[in-house]
Amino acid sequence: MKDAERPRQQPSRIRAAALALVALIFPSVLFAQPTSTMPDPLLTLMLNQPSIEIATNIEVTAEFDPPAVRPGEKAIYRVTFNALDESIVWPTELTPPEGLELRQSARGMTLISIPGKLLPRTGINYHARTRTTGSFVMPAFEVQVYTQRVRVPEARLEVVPPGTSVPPPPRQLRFQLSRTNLFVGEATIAQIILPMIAPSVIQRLDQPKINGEGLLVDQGTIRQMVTALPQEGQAFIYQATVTPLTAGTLSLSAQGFTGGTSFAGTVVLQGQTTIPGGLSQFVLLDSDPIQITVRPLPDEGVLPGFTGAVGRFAPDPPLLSAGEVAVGQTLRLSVTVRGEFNVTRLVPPPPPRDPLWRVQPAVVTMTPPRGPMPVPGTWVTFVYDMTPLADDASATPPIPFSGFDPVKGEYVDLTIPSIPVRVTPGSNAADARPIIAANTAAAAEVNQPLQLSAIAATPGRQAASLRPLQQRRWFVALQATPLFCLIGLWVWDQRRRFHERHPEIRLRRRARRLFRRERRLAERAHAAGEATRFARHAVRAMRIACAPAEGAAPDALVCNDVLRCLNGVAGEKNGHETVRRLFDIADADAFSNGSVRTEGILDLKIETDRILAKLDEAL
Amino acid sequence: MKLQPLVILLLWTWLGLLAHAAAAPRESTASPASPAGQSRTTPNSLFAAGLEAYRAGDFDAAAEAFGRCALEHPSAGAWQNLGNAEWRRGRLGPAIVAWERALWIDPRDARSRNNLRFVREQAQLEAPELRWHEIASTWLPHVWWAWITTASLWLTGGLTILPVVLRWRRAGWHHAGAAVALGIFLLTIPAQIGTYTRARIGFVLERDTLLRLTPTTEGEAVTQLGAGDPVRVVRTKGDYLFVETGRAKGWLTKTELALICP
Repeated sequence: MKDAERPRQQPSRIRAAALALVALIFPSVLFAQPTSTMPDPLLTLMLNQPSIEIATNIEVTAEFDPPAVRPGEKAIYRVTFNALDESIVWPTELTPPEGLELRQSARGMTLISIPGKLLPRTGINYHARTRTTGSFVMPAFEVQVYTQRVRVPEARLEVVPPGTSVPPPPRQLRFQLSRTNLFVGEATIAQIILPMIAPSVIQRLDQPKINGEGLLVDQGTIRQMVTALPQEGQAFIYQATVTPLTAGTLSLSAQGFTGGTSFAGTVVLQGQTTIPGGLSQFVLLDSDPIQITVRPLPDEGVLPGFTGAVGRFAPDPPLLSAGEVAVGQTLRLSVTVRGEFNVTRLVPPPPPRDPLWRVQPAVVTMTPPRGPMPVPGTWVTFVYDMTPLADDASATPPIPFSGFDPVKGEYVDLTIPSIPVRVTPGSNAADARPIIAANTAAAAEVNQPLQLSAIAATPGRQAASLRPLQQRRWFVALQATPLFCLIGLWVWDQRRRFHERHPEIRLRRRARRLFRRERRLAERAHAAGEATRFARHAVRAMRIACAPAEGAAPDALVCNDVLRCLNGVAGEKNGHETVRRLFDIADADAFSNGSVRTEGILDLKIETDRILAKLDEAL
Repeated sequence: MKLQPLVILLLWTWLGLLAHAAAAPRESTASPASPAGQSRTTPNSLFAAGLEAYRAGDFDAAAEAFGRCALEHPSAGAWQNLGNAEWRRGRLGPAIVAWERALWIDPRDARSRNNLRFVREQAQLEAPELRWHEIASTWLPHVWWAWITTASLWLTGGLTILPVVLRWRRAGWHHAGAAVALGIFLLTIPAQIGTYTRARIGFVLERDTLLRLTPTTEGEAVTQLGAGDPVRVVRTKGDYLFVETGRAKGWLTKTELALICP
């Protein structure tokens, strides 16, 4: 039965193994998600966008607007391309004809929508003025657009004598700020005003832009409106909040394209208006620059909790999420701050350090405050999560906060006051003790504001030099002292150990020293004619010279020992008689009470010297 | 064996000399008020003149006096007061350098440390980022570290070699002493390295100092440094120093920055 089933089981096992192998190598083949037939909406949206027309035939126009002016009047030298702004390599300086002053005033690009396409239109404006009459020709020149050189045609400006009738002045934007004397960080309202070309006929300002460095334009506060102004009549107004970021005198101007008749976003229309039909003329307009003076914030009088809030602010009374809380539970404190302009950029004050509370950094919310709905953007709500750490806490900690009032010219206190709250003991009160201790230390540190220390009344710790000690020569040299000492000791120890292994060296050296001393004494005795002393020192020298070889003390040697030494070590066969006579005299001198016969002993000097020389060599 | 007491005596004498030398930069208790008739060039008279000028609001004269005092007779107090005077004169870079030098001499100088924190907070400046061994080197004056390293090294060598050479009777304290001294020596090595590398930290003296790509006056500017910005000197070429800051590397002239250890 089993044998019969085996052939049928084998193919199924092979199939399973093959399937497992495929699953291991190509898991996506087996476990791939079914492909969606729905197109990606974002991709679809992108593909449905009209493409930007990148023209190969670049069209450039250059003209003076108006073409004729009187001396001192302003004309606008306007160059227009049907190309992307980024693709135009515009020269840094233009070379105007002599007597004509040119100052670049605007540069921008807009996209003109035609069915299925967007046409780029780039405009570059210069303000031109001259004080002399005549015909001024701005010469043609070439610029790089995309990858080709494009010729900007020449333009002519006629300056006619005063009193001559000329075309109306160029159409311009009017740019105004609600305040021109500001502090750094003080927001103000800027308006770009586009006067209408005819009463009740409005045009949109396309791609409006405020030019100037050191300025923040708040995109969140942009408003567009059409209203009647005393000077211009009906006008399109583009309004935004601007904030200077650097101190000094700033030059600001505005620019924008006219001609758009399609309005996007909310536009407030007042009075009777007509939106013209037909194709629009997209012309880059600009405004005269205006100067604003920006003062830095004063260093003096900065209050705690200043986070850069400049303006007039009014915090509402803070609100608590509950009037009673247990230790360890979180309480939510929210406070709404209102301001003149856009206050959504306001940075909340940092959480206070309090031993009894743990306060999290504030979260900024745009929840509408209670009461009547204010103008959007003129309020912001800070929400702090607070956790009591002990039931000793009876009120929330005050949160230091301050701002700079530009009208008063001083810092004002906006501290968020503490609110009474009932704190009940919690289950984990003991766990909070280390946090309380840490908070106490941190609070003490924070509450001690930094200031410049007083000068030192005494010189204090002194140093010979600022240079590190290990880089000074004397210090390096000083290190040699113990080094040499240790090296000397080591050498001495090695020498001592060597002598301990070879004691004969020291014995011979000592014997040589004593031998020479005795020999000198013998010579002195001979010179003095003292035969006995001569013999005694000569014998003593012989004994010392033979002692290392005999391995005995010098005084222990007798005459035979010295003779044997003479025979063996010194190889001296003669002179035995001399040695015996010297020993006889020396022994007699040492041991006999009677007189010693010393005749002729001094005559043995030569023979004695020869023997001693032999022993010296052997030593 | 007879040499043992003598050698111990010599060793202790030498260590005593080291300790005495280490204590050489000691606290000066000299009165700042110099007696009448004293020479104006003594450190105390210079210091007192600086104090007098500072208290009178003449910060230029105070900086001059404290500067001379600090250069001729470096002391933590002189450098700290020089920093205060420079700060009052509106010279942020030299003030920071002076306070850093005061801390270099006396790392426990709380006033200079506080002043550095204060001005860096005021001017939104960064403190130099110290590596771990450089932080270790600030725990003690650099002079102390040098002497501790030296003494522990030779104590290790002495306690290792002398008992063998002089054939002292074997004792446990020889090995224990040598081990402790060796441990101290090894522990001081990072601080020594930290002292060496910390000495290469400098501070930009003037605002809007250009960090250049090449060591030439026409070199392209990599970035602009503010007064008091910390830099590390990597190498020197002529009158130029190749430095690295927290955000860029480039060349500065030697006159554009001052090292902690000139």
